Amino acid sequence: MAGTLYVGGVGVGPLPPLGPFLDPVAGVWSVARSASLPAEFSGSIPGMTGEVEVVYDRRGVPHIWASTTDDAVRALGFVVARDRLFQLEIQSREPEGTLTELVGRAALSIDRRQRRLGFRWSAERELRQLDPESHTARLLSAYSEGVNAWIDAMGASDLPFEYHLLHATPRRWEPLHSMLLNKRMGYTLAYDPQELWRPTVEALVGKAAADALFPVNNPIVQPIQPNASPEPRFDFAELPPPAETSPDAAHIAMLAEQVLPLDAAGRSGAARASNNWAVSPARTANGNALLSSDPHLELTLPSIWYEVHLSVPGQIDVYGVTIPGLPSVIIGFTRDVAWGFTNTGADVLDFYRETLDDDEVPTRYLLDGDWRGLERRVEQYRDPDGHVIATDTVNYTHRGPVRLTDDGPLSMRWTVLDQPISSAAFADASAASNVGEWLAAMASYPGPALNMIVADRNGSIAIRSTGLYPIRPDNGDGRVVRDGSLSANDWQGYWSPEDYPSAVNPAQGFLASANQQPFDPALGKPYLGANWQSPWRAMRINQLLAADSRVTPEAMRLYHTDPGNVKADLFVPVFLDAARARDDLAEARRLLEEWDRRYTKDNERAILFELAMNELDFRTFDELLLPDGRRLAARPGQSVMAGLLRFPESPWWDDRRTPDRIESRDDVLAASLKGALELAKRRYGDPTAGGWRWSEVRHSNVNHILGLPSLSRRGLSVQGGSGNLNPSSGSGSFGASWRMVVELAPELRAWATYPGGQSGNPASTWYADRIDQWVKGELADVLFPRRRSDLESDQIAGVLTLHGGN
Amino acid sequence: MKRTALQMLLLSAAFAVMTVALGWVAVPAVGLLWGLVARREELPGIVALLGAGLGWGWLLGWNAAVGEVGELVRVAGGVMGLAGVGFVVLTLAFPMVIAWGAAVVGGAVKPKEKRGVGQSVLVVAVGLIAAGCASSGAGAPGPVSSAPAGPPIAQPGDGYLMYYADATGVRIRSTGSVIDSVLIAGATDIEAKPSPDRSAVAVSYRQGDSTSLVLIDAVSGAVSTVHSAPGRGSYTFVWARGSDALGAAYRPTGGSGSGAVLIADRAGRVRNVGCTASNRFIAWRSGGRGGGQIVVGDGTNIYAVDARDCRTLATLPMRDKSHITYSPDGDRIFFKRAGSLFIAEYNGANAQQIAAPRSRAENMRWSPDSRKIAFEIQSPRFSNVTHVAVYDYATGQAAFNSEERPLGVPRDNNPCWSPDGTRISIDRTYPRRGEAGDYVQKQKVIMRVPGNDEDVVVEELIRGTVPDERAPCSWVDNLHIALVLADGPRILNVNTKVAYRMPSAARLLYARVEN
Repeated sequence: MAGTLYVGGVGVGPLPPLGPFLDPVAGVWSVARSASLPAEFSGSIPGMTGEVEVVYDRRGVPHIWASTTDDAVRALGFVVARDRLFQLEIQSREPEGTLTELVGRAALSIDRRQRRLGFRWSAERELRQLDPESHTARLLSAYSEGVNAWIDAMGASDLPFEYHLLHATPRRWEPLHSMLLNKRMGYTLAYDPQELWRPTVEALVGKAAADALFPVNNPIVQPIQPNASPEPRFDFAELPPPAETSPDAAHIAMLAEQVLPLDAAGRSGAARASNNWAVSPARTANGNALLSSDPHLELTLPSIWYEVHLSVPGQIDVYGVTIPGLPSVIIGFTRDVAWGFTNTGADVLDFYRETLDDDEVPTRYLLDGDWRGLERRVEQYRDPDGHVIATDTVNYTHRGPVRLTDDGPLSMRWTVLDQPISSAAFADASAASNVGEWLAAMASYPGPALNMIVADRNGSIAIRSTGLYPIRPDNGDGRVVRDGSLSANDWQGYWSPEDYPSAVNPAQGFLASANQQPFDPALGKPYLGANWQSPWRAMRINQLLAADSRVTPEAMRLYHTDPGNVKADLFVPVFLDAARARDDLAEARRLLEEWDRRYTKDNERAILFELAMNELDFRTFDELLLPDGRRLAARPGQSVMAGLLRFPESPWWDDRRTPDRIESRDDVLAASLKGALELAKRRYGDPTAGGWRWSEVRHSNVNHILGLPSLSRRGLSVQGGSGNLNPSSGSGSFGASWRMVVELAPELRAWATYPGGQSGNPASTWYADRIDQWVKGELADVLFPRRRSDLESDQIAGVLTLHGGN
Repeated sequence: MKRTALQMLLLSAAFAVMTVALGWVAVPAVGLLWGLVARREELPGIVALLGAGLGWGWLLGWNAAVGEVGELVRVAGGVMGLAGVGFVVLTLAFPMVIAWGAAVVGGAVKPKEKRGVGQSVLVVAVGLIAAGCASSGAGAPGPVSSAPAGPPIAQPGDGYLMYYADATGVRIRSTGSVIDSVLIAGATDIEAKPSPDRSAVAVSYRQGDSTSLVLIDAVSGAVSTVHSAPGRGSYTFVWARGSDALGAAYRPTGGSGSGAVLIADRAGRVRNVGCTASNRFIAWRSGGRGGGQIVVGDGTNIYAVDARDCRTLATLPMRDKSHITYSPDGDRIFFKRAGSLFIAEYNGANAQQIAAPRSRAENMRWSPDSRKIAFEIQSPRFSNVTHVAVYDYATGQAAFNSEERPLGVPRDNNPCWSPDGTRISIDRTYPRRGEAGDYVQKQKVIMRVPGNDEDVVVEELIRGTVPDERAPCSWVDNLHIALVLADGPRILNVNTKVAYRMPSAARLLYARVEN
């Protein structure tokens, strides 16, 4: 009994104390009692000026009717907290670097990373500079009041599942937390420190070759801002040969490994596979503008998005998705305007090599011959009991945080640390009645930079890559580490919004972005970035839109999971040609020829192509292999590979590891295909036995935010693969986070879904109810009532009445 | 029977109502009270057990009636590694066990003729307080676990059995039974290697005009001679991974006498392998006392040979290589060549550079599982600063951390693996300019592999001047480490930091925790 009492009161190993956890009244069982929405319930929020009615529809979407915007935002905070309280906390603690206070020492390395990136430092500075009377301050304050009102009001059964598991209680929400969350999005979308991995590539193959392998301009040109060319342009040029590997390459690679764990997200690019597009009325079947938003992010349960309708008569009437913790609708529509975003992927981060007065305990840094004081911040990490478990010192120059690397101290300038939260811009945009007003409202949006697509009921469509873009000195190249001892190397300002990549009502009748390079390089614009996503998705959506002059909302829906793949169309014939004269490749060739190059769930040949493409990278770019011989220092874009195919005798085809022979392009293609076939058979069995079926080999995984398997939905079979509009690759934990189609008809219509559900309560039917729909590529009809009375009783799941309180 | 059933029903209601009122802590309280008031012949423990289960069953039924328990049971069970039914069973079993135990305790301490009512009240109060303490934090948050991640570490007793050397020879000391006696009198030039399972220790020494190699049973102290030769010579010896055999080679000094490569089993049986040209035993490739492959050398080449007849299977020239060290499983080696550190297969094939000359890799050590190498590297940024890197064969990556610490940028040396390979001890030195003048601080730090977030300073070794010699690499077991300081050796429990000091002139050869 003593042991059971101990386990009950204290817990053992990773288990929470079993007594309070299993308690059927106040423990985890109580979560079952809050899983269903009451038919009617009420609450109070201090500061609320009028009564607010919240009507939940059958999909769990709250429709909020308020008399003032502030009250609507208070109600938004309240309903989001009711459904997503744990998510609110963990998503703000992560950028703040205080996860250890919630989950203990296991999160220490994450917290250390985040604090060294300076998020809390930046958010605190932003809060100090925020005018308390500003629109943004009012929104953040009202939102906090709503969240905290829920925390104050909730009973034992309302405590989310995860708090029971962690034996913790929620912390109160503050405006600072919203700012931190905004910076977290910046980290997800705009953290791309190329400066840190490029030295390894240069050491391996020389600077000229490195510049060609990782060029500023993508050689396949189909930009976001249309260039009047209906087809993509191929600016392929022969790559300079690789230089001899520097004897210091191994050491430089080791240094890079030391700092790059901070940068895993930035290197993967997985967070950037988003799409959006809009079609002018002239090219739609119904004569109304159409818009689709298809942002791809990490797939989590609960989802990053929360669907909501905010209505304040005479002021706002907006529907869409918000991120729990932010006081506005981020992607969505009003009665007149609809909009969506993809990530721009601009280079908004630079490093500076600093000169410090002391290697070990620096207090000053050199600038223009004078010593300036470093801002010194001692970061303490605490466990859930409040004990300090680790301490770090992070120094800041006027540019940002300094990291002491073995290659010298580097300071970081990053727009994400400079930019304020943009809630007011979103709120103003929600009140726009046409494309022009919407673009004007969002002109002040600071970042992270987004390709904003917008359409209105008048039939206008527009796109603009909006955000802060630094103006750098000399040639403007953002890929180099600059000398921090000279202020002349600092950023000299930001681009004017008039210079942003943009287009309004183009002659082609449609607009699309898929993270491709925004400008045509032929325009000679200043440096905007370099690490652009491969253009396959952009080419495909342009292909689809150009081929259909009577686009319907249904067609827009089908585009989301379109199985066509431009990359396969380009590379498969090349593989087949290389295999044509080789008897030993007869089987591989036959299998590849059987494939229609479509990533349908039941196709059984896409896996051969995927493996062959992977083999091709490793066999071609053996010069980039790290000393361990198993990993590439960085992987050039596939459009660079596509260009290399034009030069069959390029020295890049030769494999340095076989000094007795010189390989040609076709040798490498054939060897890649052969290797892929052997690997596919080894992993998936005989090609005719069903093990190669796409639905068997590639899955999407929607993981719970704590990674708990029983709360996750894994192994989902979806249509799409690498390079598709619905890319499914790697771990499968990234994907379409929100799919929306809007028809800007006189009476606007919209369809949408996301992989998850409105509730964060795993016992709720709204926890993951949309997953099946999302897997099938289907969308739900969105209810967008003008008035409360427009909702029929059978459309209502529950009604919450909120009023002011003490 | 009816009375018992009625008691159980009433008790279940009490458990349910009190749980609503007080939370789970009501279970031991009600159980204890029941044990105090029930008659012994009414089996109070069993009735409490069933009553608690039924009481919580009522509450679960209430949850099911007003809530959505189906999915909750699945996910909560999944989190705990249970099926849904298992989670329900756990929820019911938990109060049953506590209620039963509490009722039994209550029955055992209930007042008899000699005990008064006041005593009973006291017992009840103590029970309630105890239950309250056990549930402290029922409303207050706490961690899932405050224990560090990684394999649990056993807590052994306080006594140590140790072998050490001093001017009298090899000695044995048991702190538990206060034994301290000479085992090998007059031994000098002593070298010792414990077996991997730490059940024995091999010791070579010189005694008078002869040189000997013996096995000592670590528990009993029994000594058996493996080899002895007249004159001065030296031994190289390596334990087989299974601890069932010791491989050894004798090399006479100055060429006098002949060498020998031997394999001894734990019973003291010794077999000459027959490698007449080799005089160094370098590693075990496979096998043990029964055969397999071993690695021997003659100072010019290294040979992988058949342990039965010394038939050469592979030859590795030592020319241009230094620090050739075989992994514990004998499958791989690391070595230095022209300043670079390489890893290769056992025969030198497929060498891969893992550290460049400017890294100045030193003091390399294999992990016990042969999958990692810890070594020192020169910081490219700070002169006179070294970091400890860990190369992981599985990933091909060498990671090290050179971050600033509260006392500045430390110099890390002397990486040493714990027996289970989950931790490394390092010597950490802080040169720093303090307000009170220059000083140097040296610490023994335990670092979890491969990260550095779990650093624990187990001992501040020296403040002031750091001597040139490094503290030895000596884990006693996964929890204890031996330190050699200016005032003599000591054994330290890295969790409690309780140390046992040795006589100042002693050199510790081997230690184990006495259970």
